[in-house]
Amino acid sequence: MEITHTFIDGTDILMPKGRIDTLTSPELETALQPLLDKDAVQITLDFKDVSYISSAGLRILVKTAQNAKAKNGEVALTNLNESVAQVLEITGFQSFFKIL
Amino acid sequence: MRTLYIASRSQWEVALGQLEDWLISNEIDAPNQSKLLIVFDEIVSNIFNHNTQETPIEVEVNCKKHATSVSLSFTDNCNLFNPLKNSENKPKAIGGWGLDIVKNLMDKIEYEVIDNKNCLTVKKNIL
Repeated sequence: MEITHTFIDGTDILMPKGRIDTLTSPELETALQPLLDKDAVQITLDFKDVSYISSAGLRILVKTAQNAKAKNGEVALTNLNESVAQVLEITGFQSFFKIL
Repeated sequence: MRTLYIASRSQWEVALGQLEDWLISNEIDAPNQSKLLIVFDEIVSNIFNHNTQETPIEVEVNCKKHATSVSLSFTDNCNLFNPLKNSENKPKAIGGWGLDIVKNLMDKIEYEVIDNKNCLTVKKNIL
């Protein structure tokens, strides 16, 4: 999985590319881990180039959001396609994240 | 019909690519492609994650296009287990939403035992 990382105005922006499933989600988790080690956690995941996400990927997002919240931080999601939005809705986690 | 075989993580990745190719060659639209690929991931990961046997896992996935639907049948040699039984009222652990996703994305889901193997069939209407 290709993941682009930029840092703008105090926010880490990750832009994964492709699918986020059982096989690829460990790579996303590895990319997110150092961001959670920061003192101030502000992460935006840009899903512009993500085709779909399965529960394995969602598990990483939820854990990341929980860890961020524990440090008074936040995880935002942006550019969700219909498929990603539907999985969030099915699992009831659309309100768990800030959707930009 | 297309049959895919998975007995390892590397074969899982190959089978995923084969399924993507099969969906494209059968002109399944992009939203339904995504739904079927998500369901493939949920079901195969369930099989691999919940197996407690020491016997190597063998999964066969039969992909069929019907007049108005697509079906995927997953047959595995793991412990006999009906994932649809009593699944409604169980509390969801983190990451335990796979079956909910499958049920919501598909139009039909059936479990049966065939030749002492688990067989889970999902169907998605495409028209």
